[in-house]
Amino acid sequence: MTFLRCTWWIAVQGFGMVFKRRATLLFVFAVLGYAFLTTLLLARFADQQNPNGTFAELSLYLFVQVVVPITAVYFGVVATREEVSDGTLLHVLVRPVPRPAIWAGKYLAALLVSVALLGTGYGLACALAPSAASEAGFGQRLRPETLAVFALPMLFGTAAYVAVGCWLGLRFKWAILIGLGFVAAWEQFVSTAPHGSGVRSLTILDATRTLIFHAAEGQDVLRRAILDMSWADTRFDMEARMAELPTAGEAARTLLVFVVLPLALCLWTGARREFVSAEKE
Amino acid sequence: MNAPPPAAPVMQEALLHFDDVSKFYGPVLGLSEVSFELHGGVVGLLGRNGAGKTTLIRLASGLLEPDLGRVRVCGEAPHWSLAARARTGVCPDIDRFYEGMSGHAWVRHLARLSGLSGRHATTAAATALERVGMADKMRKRIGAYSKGMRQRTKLAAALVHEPRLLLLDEPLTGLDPVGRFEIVQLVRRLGDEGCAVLVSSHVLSEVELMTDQLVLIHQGRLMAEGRVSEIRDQIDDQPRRVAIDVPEPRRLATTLLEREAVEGVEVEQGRLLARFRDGQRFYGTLTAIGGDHGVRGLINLDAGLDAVFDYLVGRA
Repeated sequence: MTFLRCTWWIAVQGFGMVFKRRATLLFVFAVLGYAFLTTLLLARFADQQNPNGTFAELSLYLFVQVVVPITAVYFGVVATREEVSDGTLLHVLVRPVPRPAIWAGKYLAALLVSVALLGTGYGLACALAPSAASEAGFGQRLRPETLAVFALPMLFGTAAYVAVGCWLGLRFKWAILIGLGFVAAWEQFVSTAPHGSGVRSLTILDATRTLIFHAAEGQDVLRRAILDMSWADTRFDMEARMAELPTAGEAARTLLVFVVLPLALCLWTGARREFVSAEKE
Repeated sequence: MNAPPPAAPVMQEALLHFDDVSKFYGPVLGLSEVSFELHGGVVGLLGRNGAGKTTLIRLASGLLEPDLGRVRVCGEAPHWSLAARARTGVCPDIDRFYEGMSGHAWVRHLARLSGLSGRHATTAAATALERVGMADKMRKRIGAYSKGMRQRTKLAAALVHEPRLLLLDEPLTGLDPVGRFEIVQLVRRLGDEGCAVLVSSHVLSEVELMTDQLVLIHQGRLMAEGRVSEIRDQIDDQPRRVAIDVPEPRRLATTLLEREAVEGVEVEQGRLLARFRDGQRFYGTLTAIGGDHGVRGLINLDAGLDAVFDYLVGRA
């Protein structure tokens, strides 16, 4: 009971604190930028392209690949790092709060902020895009299933990125840089390794895309775009690539590992570490 | 019918108990084999900068775990026990807050974390802030507070859940004279009310205002513990010193030296400074001859905290 009460209260406080940061505005602009750019491009090329494909590709390349990972890792880092580095954590540590509740609360806060921001951007794009694409000369309208296909995989992906960010924030002084490096180098590079290499499942991005792929039944443009994301794979046989794709269950399991493992490390590090030198950081 | 067994003597459990506690920061010694108990009242934790005061406070508050020995608050290890931490109020030495919050919101937040319900936390936060003289500023942003106001806010946060043990790390830092006086009075009142208060400071005069009960540490070791006068009595390798206000100091000096009651005398600024070891003998002699020499007054030069501290630290 104490654990739940403290977790909830820390999450509520953390949500307010993270949301009020000036840098949060940057991410507000990023998600709004995605929504308006998608709408603009759909309106601009409505007569030349399939709106379902345009929306899917923009969401995949811009939102899923870039905005979601950076936003979620950033807020995860901020949630845990800030209080450790400015020393305010000491005030919490001397209270009768179970240490795991502190980190669980911070994870929850970062997740809520990320989901609120990313959800707003995605929701806005889903709300604006159909009207922009309604005059499509290509003969197709933007289908609801195209809009909905990203929602759940992105939610799971966000949960995993936030967990990684939380652990990095707790563990490393330069966590934001390490987090950006993780997204820009590891995630982007390894998740586009050849399908048969076996290393792609070490990334959140590949698992998220795989879930999107399995959810996108009948959406050929999106499915092809996902299968195409591979360097050094010269095969044109998409069937062969598809056969090497993990199942939805395997992808979900990968994401679960990426949530549970960093969180467990977070709780373990948070319980063991002595935060006495926090102020000097 | 058997008579009931005699009741066992009731030992009052110490609110804070250090049992042979050592703490290392890597190869650096933070605290070494420190043992003491705190039952109630105000106790000054005295030591120079870097002596280990903050380490001791952090061990007592559960922020740190001892490498050797045991720390107990009401019989439980504060690093692991939530109940022990619920009974402890801590005013840490760091000056860090959520700057955007008001003082009231901050104290309320910490009250919630101490287990107070929403409405109760709101009332308790207001009461604690009033108690430290922040009634009219509690709704302002902490970022706009002066150093003294921030210090008072920290103190209010330590008091908000009415702890039985209060750990104050340099609580008077940054306060103006009026603020110091008010906080000193508050600390003394808390001690009188039965709260055990451990106040750390490196400023002797501050501690002297609050209590004469001391825990003195130097280079991570416990040097002495108890009342200042008791500690002074234990220092037998240093002669005691008194300044005697007398019209003819040289004549009195000669008389005292003849009686072998003193170890040495000096005349300084019209006063006679006398050094002696056997207090009973010295004061007996002085009482016997003082009237003939017209002794007007006597000042004990080493019963103060400063002198005791200097002796102990100098000896270490």
